Amino acid sequence: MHISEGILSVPVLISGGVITVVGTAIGLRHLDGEKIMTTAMLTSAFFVASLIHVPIGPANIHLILTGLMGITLGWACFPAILVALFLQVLLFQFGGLTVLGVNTANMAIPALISFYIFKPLLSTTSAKQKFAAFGCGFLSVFLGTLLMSITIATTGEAFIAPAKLVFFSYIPLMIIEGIITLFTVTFLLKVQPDFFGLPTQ
Amino acid sequence: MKAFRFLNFKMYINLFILIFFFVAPTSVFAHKIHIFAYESNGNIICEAKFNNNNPIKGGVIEVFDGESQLLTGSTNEKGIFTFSTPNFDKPRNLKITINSGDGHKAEWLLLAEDYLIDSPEQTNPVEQIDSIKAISKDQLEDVDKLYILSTKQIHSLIQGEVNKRIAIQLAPIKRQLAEQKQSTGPTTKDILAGIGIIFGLMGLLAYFKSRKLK
Repeated sequence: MHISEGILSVPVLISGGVITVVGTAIGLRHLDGEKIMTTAMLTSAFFVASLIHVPIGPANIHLILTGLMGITLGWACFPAILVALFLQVLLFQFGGLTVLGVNTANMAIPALISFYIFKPLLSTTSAKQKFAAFGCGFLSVFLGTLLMSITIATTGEAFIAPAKLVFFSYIPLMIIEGIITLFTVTFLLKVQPDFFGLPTQ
Repeated sequence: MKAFRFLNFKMYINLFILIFFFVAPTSVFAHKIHIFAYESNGNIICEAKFNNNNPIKGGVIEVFDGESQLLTGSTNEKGIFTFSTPNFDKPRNLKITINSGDGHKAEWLLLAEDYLIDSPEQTNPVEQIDSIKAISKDQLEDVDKLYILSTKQIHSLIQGEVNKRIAIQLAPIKRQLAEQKQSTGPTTKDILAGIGIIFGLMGLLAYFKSRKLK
């Protein structure tokens, strides 16, 4: 999900940067008390997740975890994703400093949207909880890929076809991410409901 | 809940395995792409791959000679693009870039001293070998003439042939060296450092937030 340096145009880079700065500022206000520890854990998980490739058959896939971050952290997903991506630039040379804003926005906006759609469902029935858990994993990757494809397509006509290809090849990952998020969230709801700010049963 | 009973654990596992086997080609999930180039026997060979070592097929290659774009092309099935070593009046570094089209770009700087190994004088013998061959075929009976020509040329003939052999033998070594020059994947140290920094930052944040509360 990282776009490299030297591909995007300046207006795209600047708008990505502005969105990220605003989102991070709001996110930092939302970060308080017990949420800080959760954020640290999820940031670390996100930071490492992109390194763990699971090669099965012809496939080689890794999780993105933005759905889990969104539904757990809300606005705080902005600083979390920003920090993780920044460290990935510094330590792994993934992406780049100038595209940091765009990359953060591309992943944090979908996480935030899934938060607003699916978070209210977590305090309802078990079936709806499962739906919400799958939904946030699926939707965050879906929207993230869509945003990334649009960003790549802005660079010129020649990149519209590859952008489409990127989008379609992420469809299996959307489903896998949904299933993994479903497992993780239902498990956490059982053992640690306060992870999502819900009262312990 | 009964309506959702079909969503049982076994089904998830089966679905999971199924999806993994039908998942699209791996290349688009890369974080990073690499390119490296080396000279071999009058050609410059560029190899491009994703960070999981899969070749980049059809990646757009651009070669710059420091001032302007020299040539463009695209990589083949094996992620390789070859072009003949350019001749400049003075040595110039080549910047080779690749764009895989999915939002990744990489570049490689091929230094002049790394690809301009053969000086113009040394490349001549190759031509001379051909001329000697031409003579020997056409005028096989005129052996004396061949001897007269060869005093100086035998030397360069051998040199040319040796250069060719060395080039062939050195190619894989050059390739390996060029490949190794690239930054390798993240190490355990990098990962642990990252996690450490994240927790450190959050600790710092917690500290400042707690001071505000007081």
